[in-house]
Amino acid sequence: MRRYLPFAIIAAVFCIATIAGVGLYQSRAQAPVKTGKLVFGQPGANPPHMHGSRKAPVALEEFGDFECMPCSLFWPVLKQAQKEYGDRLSVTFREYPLTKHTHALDAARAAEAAGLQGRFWEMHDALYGDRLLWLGAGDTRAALILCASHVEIDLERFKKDLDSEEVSKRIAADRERVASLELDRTPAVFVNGDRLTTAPITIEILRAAIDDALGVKPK
Amino acid sequence: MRHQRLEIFLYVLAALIALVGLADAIYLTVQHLTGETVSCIASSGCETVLGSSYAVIGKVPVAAFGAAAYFTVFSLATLAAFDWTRVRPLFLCLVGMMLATTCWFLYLQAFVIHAFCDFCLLSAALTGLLSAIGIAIFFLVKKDAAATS
Repeated sequence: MRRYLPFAIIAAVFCIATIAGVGLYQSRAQAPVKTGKLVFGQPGANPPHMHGSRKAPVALEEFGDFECMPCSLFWPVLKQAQKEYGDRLSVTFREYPLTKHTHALDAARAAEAAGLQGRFWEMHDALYGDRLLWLGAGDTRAALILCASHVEIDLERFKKDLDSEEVSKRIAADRERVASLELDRTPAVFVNGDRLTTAPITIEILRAAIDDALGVKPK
Repeated sequence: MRHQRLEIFLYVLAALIALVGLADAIYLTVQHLTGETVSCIASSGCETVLGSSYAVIGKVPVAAFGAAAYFTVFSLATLAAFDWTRVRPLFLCLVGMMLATTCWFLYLQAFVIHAFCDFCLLSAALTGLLSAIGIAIFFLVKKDAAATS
């Protein structure tokens, strides 16, 4: 009997591991939402900066400019929505530095350079959080590097990446997407492919749009 | 033979560590297959590491190979604990291979991807523990062989 006991243990562990794996897979692999979300236009930079699950029932895509005031006002609204909806909401950020904003492109490059080290969202938050600091600085580049120093990042690599071809390509790809969608202002926000046209986008407006996409009746 | 009880204890410990590694690897495999984002707890590089080209071999996630390896280690350690002495060299060989693979992935994270993933570091720590157990067993067996000859 004792001779066969290890095989019984191994078989039991195999069964438990298989059942756990399949169960976990089935619980995660929900059918994707068929709303034709964000399949139109040029694809933009790949991979996109996405926060949250690709299988989230609600996909929000923001085209933002770090210098733009409405974008900085939308930032805490988006954070609030992410907190409230958790894994039901995914957020993708696209670079749309407006040409009328003199420092927006530098900020976009800084965010993308941080993104090459996997720190896009940290830099995104730092840029909006310290917006007035780097906007008001005489030397924007130095101010952006200072901003990046608050994020866990290899600063030497960051400085090199600020002028890199890869960063330029990513921003150009996002701009192609902007052009293909005929956008003309920031922030441009899409929820499951539908653009939110109201401005400013408050938490109430965003909540209503997300609830609508989730099929939740308004309270 | 003097250290037989200690040896059995080490194999049981190795089997339990392999179970933790198996759970970690299954979780990462499922996350990969379902396209879920893996959120780190202590670091912030999970998405970077697990989304990199090094996280897959062909179309198979590396974590799936890890799950197979941990399950095999568990099986070999269990058999060894029940006196199946012939599997002991296999256990040591497999742990050695896992250690080499772990070192490679640590190198990739540190110098190529420039990001660390909590779940990969956990797996590296577990493999480190398994290696330490493997070395201890190796010397115990050697010592016993010297004592009996």
